[in-house]
Amino acid sequence: MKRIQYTYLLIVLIILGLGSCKKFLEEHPTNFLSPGFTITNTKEARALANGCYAQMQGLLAGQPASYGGNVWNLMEFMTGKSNSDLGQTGFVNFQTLTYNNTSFYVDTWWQQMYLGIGACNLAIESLEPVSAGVLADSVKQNMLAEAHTMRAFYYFFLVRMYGAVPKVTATPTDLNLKLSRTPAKAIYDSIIIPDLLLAEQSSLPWQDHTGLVSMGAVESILADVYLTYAGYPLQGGDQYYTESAKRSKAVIDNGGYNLFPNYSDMVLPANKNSQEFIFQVQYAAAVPSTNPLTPLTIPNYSGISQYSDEYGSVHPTEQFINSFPAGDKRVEERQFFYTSYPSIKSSAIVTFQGHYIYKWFDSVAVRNTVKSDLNYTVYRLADVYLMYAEASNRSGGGPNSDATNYVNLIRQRANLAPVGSLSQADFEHEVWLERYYELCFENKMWFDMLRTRKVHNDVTGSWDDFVGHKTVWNASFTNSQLLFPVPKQETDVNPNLLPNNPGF
Amino acid sequence: MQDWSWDNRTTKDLLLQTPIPWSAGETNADVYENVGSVRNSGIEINLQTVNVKNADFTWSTSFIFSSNRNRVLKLNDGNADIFPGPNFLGQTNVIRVGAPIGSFYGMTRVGTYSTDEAADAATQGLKPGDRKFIYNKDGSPYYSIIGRAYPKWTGTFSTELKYRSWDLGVDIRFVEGVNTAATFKHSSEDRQTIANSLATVLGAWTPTHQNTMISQVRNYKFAQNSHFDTWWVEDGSFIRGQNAVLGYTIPEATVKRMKLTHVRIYASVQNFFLQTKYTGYDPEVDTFNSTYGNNSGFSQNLDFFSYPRPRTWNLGLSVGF
Repeated sequence: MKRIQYTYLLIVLIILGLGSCKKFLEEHPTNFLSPGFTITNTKEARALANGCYAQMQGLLAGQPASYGGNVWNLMEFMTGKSNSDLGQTGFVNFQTLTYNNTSFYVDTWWQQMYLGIGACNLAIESLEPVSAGVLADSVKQNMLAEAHTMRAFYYFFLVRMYGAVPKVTATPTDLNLKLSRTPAKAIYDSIIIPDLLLAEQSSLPWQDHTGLVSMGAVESILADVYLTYAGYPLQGGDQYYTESAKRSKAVIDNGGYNLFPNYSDMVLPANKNSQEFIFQVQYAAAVPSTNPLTPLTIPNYSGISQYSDEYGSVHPTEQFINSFPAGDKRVEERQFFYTSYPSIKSSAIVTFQGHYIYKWFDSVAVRNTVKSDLNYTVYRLADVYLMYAEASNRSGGGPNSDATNYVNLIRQRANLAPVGSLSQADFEHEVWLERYYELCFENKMWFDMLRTRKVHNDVTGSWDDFVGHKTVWNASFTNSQLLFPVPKQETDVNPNLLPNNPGF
Repeated sequence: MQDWSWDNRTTKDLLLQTPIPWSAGETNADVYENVGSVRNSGIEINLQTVNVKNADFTWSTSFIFSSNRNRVLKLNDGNADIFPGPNFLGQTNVIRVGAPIGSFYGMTRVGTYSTDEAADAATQGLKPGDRKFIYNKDGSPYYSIIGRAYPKWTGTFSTELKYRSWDLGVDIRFVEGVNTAATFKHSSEDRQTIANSLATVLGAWTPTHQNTMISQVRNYKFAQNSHFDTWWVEDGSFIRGQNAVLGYTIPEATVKRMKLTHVRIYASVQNFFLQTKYTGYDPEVDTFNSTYGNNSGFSQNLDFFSYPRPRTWNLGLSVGF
């Protein structure tokens, strides 16, 4: 009996000894890529490149603890040309210019842009060592171009909004995370511009109808970067105007883009990523991943939609609307703005107290599905036309015929008479004004004000200096408005970011 | 019978989900780290007495008293403050050397601006009727430790009475020297006319009633900033009737006739009374627990519409075969 027991014991021990216990217990996850992975096929590579785009929706992120608050509100509230139906958007703080480092939006913008940068850094690190056997060289270069472009795109927001920001170009490997701020110029020179120049060398197609970075997007962003670099606060020099104009012209000549004949074409989801649209934040009602601006721009409690909440978060001041030239189609009904709409419950027409924004009016969503399918445009051809006009006007000492022509195409669409030959200064003012009217509420105006340090006064019609400009709310811009405060939640965790920007 | 104990414990390498800067680009913006050391010292007294004991009637009581003093001794990074979250319109808690864990951190509300103080209010972009806080000399809001989430002392008083076949047990619990933060006041008092408000809003500032802590009722379109402040942090001490049981054990003779060994009927009620100054439903809350992804141990006693504890009635029958 004992002998049999011992024999059994011996057999069991041998079996156990044969298999290595450790290996038997080792499990490899099959549904996610664990840290330290290497890319082994195209699908994984594509997934990493796609990750760079996730934070584009950060441009329209909701603001925690607010009602009707969206980070998009920030740049519109700052211009002094908007109003809000809701106190919960924190509008009063921006109206009176008493916002500070604990105010809405400044924290979410910072967080979202760095999340995007983190995803891009991971993609770049993972894609670079991939061999040609796994990924064809041209495919790899194009994916890297996408990642670099997106990283530059996110940093471009950070430097314009906060100035000096922490420079992060690799996924953190230790807990030395309390970085100090790198001056904006260094961020432009070492990340933004080199990333975009690298992307310029790739073979990305000029257009992409799925929303991926195209050469059109790369050149448009680069034109914007150079134009901003030439202006305040860096004032890099006239060569940057030349470089900017060169990129805009490339988009115009080679991109194959065309202006939409009607403004109403822009609110049709079927026109996504096509024709005039160069680069958009993607939304898709089918997923559902829906555009938050649709309900946010419907007048508060107006009862014209199926949405349970109609916010009226941002709408133009009447002074801004009245500053448009007489006969401008853009202020006519249901072009860029609307003043009335049929009620959803009866056939009665609801007339609003003022003008509200129509640019994200997905009528199918508004009247039926409550799932807005519209994309949010970051760059479109009209913007590039005007960037070319402004840059070439500066670099060429005056408007050339192309510049005048492009401005007139935009004016023509607005039913305005074309401009003739203008002086350099007059043409510049015309272009700046055209940017206000054409690109209003697309988060462009505030950045235009910062880089030109000029503000168009809707009441007097003149171009005020930025510092000292008084808004219709009787608040005056000071040096404190040139940069947003670094959010308190971030400076509490990382005191190396202090001192904060002037005034905060 | 008595039992007295005293303990003094220093815990090093305190584990905390430390927030990391957003610039690191990580979706989970915290990391487990050893951040410092904390000392817990306290006494515990356990007193059990049998007050009466005779053939028909027994009465015993038990009294437990425990107090704990908690104090952060050291933190990394030169003893810099750590904010463990949650962030609810601003930081609500702080871990600071010299203070206990679970300290509330916020602004100090002194009342509302009167019409005479219009100029003073204007320096902060506010008007008479707005909430008035303490500010630093440079105009920035004054933040300080405004409460504690862990009690100074707790105690339990239990008593058991037995009279022939009847038994009665009562447990009462005391918690004293703790604050509960009524963060729901943000939605129900600070912010008006968009949804229901608390009845306290009836005592809001008006030009004829200016001596109040509640700001003027305004259309929600003019909503003012709301902050975690001393008005939200209330006294969370309480006395709670935890449990009361009344039972009747059927006498042995009768039970034997039923061919059973033991039959007892009892009725009990849990949470039979609550005595507290706290204006919310129940001062013992933990809304921002780990489901909110935070350091739940550091964010106790924050109440954001937590469901109140019910009073539970039980009726039971215990039968032995």
